[in-house]
Amino acid sequence: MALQGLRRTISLFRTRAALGLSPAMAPIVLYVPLGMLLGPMGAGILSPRILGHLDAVISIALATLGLFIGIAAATQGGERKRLLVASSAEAAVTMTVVAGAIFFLLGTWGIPLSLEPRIVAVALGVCAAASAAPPITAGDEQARRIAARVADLDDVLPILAGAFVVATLSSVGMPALLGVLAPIGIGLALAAAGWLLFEHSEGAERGVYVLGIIALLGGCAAYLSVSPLLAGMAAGWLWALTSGHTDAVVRRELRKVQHPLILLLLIAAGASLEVSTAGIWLFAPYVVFRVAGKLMGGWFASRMAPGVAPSDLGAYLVSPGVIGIAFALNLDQVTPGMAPLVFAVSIGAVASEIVAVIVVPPRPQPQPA
Amino acid sequence: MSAPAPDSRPDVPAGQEGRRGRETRLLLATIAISVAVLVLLARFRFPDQVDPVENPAPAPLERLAARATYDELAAIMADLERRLAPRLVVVQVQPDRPGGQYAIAARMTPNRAVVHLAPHETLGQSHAGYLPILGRDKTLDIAVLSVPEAADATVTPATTPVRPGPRYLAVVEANPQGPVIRPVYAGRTDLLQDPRTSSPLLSIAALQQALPRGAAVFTLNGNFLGLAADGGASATVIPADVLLAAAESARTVEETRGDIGVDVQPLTPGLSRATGAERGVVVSYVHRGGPAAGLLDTGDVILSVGGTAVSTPADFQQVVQSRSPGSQTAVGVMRRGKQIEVPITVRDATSAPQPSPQEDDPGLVMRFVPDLGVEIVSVRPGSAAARADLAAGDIILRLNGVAAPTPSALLNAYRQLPAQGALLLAVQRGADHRAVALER
Repeated sequence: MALQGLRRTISLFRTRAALGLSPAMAPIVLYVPLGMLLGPMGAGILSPRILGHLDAVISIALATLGLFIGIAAATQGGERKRLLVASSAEAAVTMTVVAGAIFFLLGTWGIPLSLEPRIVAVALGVCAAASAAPPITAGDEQARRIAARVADLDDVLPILAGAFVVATLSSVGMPALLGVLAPIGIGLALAAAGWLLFEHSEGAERGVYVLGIIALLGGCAAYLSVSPLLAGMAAGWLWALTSGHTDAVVRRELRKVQHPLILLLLIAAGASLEVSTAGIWLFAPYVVFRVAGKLMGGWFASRMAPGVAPSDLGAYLVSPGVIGIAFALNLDQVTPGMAPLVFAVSIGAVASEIVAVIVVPPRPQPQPA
Repeated sequence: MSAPAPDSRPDVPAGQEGRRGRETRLLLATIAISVAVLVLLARFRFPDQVDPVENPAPAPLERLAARATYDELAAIMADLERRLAPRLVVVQVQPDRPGGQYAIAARMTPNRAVVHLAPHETLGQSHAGYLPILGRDKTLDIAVLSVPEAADATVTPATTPVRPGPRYLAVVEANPQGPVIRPVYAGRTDLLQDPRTSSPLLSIAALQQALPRGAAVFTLNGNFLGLAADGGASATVIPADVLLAAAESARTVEETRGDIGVDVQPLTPGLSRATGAERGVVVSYVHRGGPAAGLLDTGDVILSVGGTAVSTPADFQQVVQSRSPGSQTAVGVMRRGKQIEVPITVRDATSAPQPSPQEDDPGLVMRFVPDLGVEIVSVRPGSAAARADLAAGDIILRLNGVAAPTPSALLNAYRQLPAQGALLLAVQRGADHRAVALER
């Protein structure tokens, strides 16, 4: 019996390994703990002073992530509108489940937080709503491909909601609505400027322009204390819709810096962690209710887009990806007192990756010839 | 939204039926687990930041008890402050020293208050003006002061003996703005026999906050325990019954009022212009053989006594009376337009030779009429004035040939008369004018 259980567990690891993401080697599972080891809680190589200098780079990384999401949202293939609605519904259900449960528990527990419980609950809901589907391969089934598209599209609503939370918490003092419109305006303006530059340049020069525009996106958003994710998403969306091949150009140029930036983001998140009693208390319900929210949201979305979204969509979306951590880091940049939230989200993301190993449907075994 | 039946969905790829069932089961299980987890987690309470010191009381009860105690104490203090403020007087101690101190005087009787005052210490002003010292007990370092009469404003001495053990006490300290009350936790209170008093002193040990010397100590009921004889983390309190006895017997035990042997009159605008002083009191007479004889002169303007400014004769009398007999006090004087400071040794007013009315007082109550002279307000029967047939309403126009004399000039001239001497007065009574001899 025990041997059978062991075999089953090993098969799960094999499944993940077949995807190229064995649990032990998934980016979050590896680099968040590595950041903890390098950060002030560990070896102290990434001191608080260095982390302060990395703030600008983190903003650029957030803008880059937003850019990819914007391009992906605008360039989805068939059934794009139905999938966008279904994905947003799935994200809304997840946000509601997590935020509602956390808000209820915060009221019951009486955790002393420097922010209002409703703000913390909504922020955790936004972080939980993002998801990353397992990578797909050429031979993957349709359900897995659709899940990957939903995983891209279900980040749109959380980015908008996250921008609203950032605007609410921002110390700049602009109205919340303006705090949401400002990054959109920044993204569209810089995207328009970038489009003119990219169309009339090529080679290394174009690469410099792309990186410059991305740096401007992140820098402007950080300067105004608005969401760089939304600024990047607006820019990516515009580039994907304009004539020419701007989106392809940008994607090609950013591919060179994408992985280092995400790596830096995860390490910075790990190094920024502060172990606190409040963070530990938030971590467990965050993981539990995020999984529940994803499964409920997936079930709901599959009924909204029957025939398009797979019926077990939610199970594919349990893997959180880096977007949730990016949200938490963004909120931590905007306002102090987010340390318990960053801890719960980052450690929760690691735990969710491990839960995803169990929940994500296995690939069907190839039929013998 | 209701899900369509699996059979009505031709677009569902074959082989996904099992998955749908699996996903639904997973969803239901997740919902059930989530609700169970929610109910379970809601039963916990986030740990409070509690004091590391172990306490057998449960945390919620401990917090409740602590809050109730402090709220209760605050209410008691507010009530005591309201009740005790009229029963206490703040007096200045050592006013001639920079940064003078203040002490609390407790009203033991309607017109007497007791303050802790060392023999070398002097009193300055209080909120009720200058309070003359009626008596001092130099063994206990207390002084009995005369205070304005207030029948219902006396402290209530604690009659029941204080039991030993920890307790809260209400301590009233002196502040320039008035009495200040605060609760003080005393770890132990004991009765201490002392040969100086018939009643035992109250010893307070392990005080949470140090007591200032001379502070008034009350129970939380507002009963007066006594005055702190010494300050610090442990203090001795002179009990209220000892203070009450001292207050009641002050005049019979010791009558010490300071005196420097001068009479004064107010500084009128004319005298101000004549002397060049803007404030103070004018010396109208210097007693022969008195402490000020040879040091002060008639016409000098006394500006201050012992560093305390004086503006009226009443001020002057009260300040001088508060000086300790035998002590030397610096009297600030304006003499012929120059300010000088004259050291004068204060004598006991009760031991000073009292001039008999026949010797120094002609028996007149007068008021000055500018440019005319002195109008007689009343005449004491049997006095020198009555013998000279002076009557109320008479106006003295000239004194020894000098026109328009002042009342003080007349008094001084009378006091300086030799025995059997006489003053020559020109008196107007109605429309009549006559000469009168005022004989001593």
